[in-house]
Amino acid sequence: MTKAIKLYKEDFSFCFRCGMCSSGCLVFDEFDYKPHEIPLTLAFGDIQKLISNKKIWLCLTCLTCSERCPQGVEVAELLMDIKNDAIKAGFVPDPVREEALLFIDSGVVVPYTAASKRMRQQMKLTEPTTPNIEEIQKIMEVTGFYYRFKKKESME
Amino acid sequence: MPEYALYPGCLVSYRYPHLELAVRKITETLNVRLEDMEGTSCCPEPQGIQSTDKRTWMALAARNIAIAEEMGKDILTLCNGCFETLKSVNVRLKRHPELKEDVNQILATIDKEFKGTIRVKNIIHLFDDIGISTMHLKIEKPMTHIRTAVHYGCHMLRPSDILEVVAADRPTMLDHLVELTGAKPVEYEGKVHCCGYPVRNFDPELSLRLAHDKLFNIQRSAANCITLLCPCCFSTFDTRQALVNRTFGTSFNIPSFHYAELLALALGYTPEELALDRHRVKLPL
Repeated sequence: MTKAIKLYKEDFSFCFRCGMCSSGCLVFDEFDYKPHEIPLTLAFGDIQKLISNKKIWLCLTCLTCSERCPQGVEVAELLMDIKNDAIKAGFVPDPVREEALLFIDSGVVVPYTAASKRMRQQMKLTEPTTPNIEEIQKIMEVTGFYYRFKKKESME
Repeated sequence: MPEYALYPGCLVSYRYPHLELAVRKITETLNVRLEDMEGTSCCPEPQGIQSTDKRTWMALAARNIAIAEEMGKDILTLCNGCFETLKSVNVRLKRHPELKEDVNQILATIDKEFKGTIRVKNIIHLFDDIGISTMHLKIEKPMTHIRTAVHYGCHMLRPSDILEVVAADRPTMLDHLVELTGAKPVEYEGKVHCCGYPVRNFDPELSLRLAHDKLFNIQRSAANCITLLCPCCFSTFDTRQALVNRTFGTSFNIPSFHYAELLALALGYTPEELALDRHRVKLPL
């Protein structure tokens, strides 16, 4: 459990559920857990249900909710921590896995293709830098990011 | 002469290199020196990778920043995502020693260190450094036929305390820079709303609907194009506009400028020099 969630279990009182966060949310209708319900859910609700809920991945991370909160509750940040916990618990949506694997293998999240190379040549731009994949993967190994995705892949 | 470490980001480098081209042209005219960064990774992007593992996100962003620190230069980003990631990690690590210590323990394994000696800037902050009046004098071809909807993009504005944005709910900084090129910024509903890009892989229909709503509001305004700062928003409004039209039976035909392109045109570069034929929706030139 991450620090922010722990903090919320101990002291949920920052949020008084005024709903300012939800009133600015562009994907309000999509969520099962509305932004203003998240702090209270962390304090008293079923966290397992929350982290396994697929709809949490529809957050745009536009950060309007955090920006609007009169109490300084960073709702989008909390949701980010919840998603981190969801991944640790094994609830990994396909787009997340795909992006993570591409990131691990290449160090970037958009592939460098033959078409990229051709376009750059036509525009007389120099070759883009090659990511130092050894260093990047080393960091991913230290934080456990690497094994979280690579292990699962080899088991399939 | 101002100097920056250029961090173009993967989407600009690999898919929309014409945006990098425009930035290289304007910096050439404005006497700004750009130095390429070597061995950088993805920033990493602030939505997917941060949602997956914040600690990895922070450590890899700190590594990219450390590369610029070794060069002794501020970072110049061309993308809202890269800007938010690099700037917010830079600011957070400077503000919170315990986070910095944790990240530096990770970076020590590759003999790198985050020191907190540089700043992270976006293309719009360039003009704070070189002076607006210097730039004004270089305008050769005022873009007076352009009436544009200015789209800032979420990660240019929020979190406002960290990104140091004044009045993030009614931003004006890019509007002023647009006026400088001779173009006229016009007001429209939902100016600070998201383009829908972040959920394109999670819920494609929702993503297109958000893009549709944005385009709908712009269509109703007096604008004849969009001016934006981010390759992700560019991908939504330019590359995917035809898909929006097919999905919702609409007939939007709203072209998009990256601000660097609009400025480069005003500085006298031709559409050919800027490879503006890379745009799917043809521009009012």
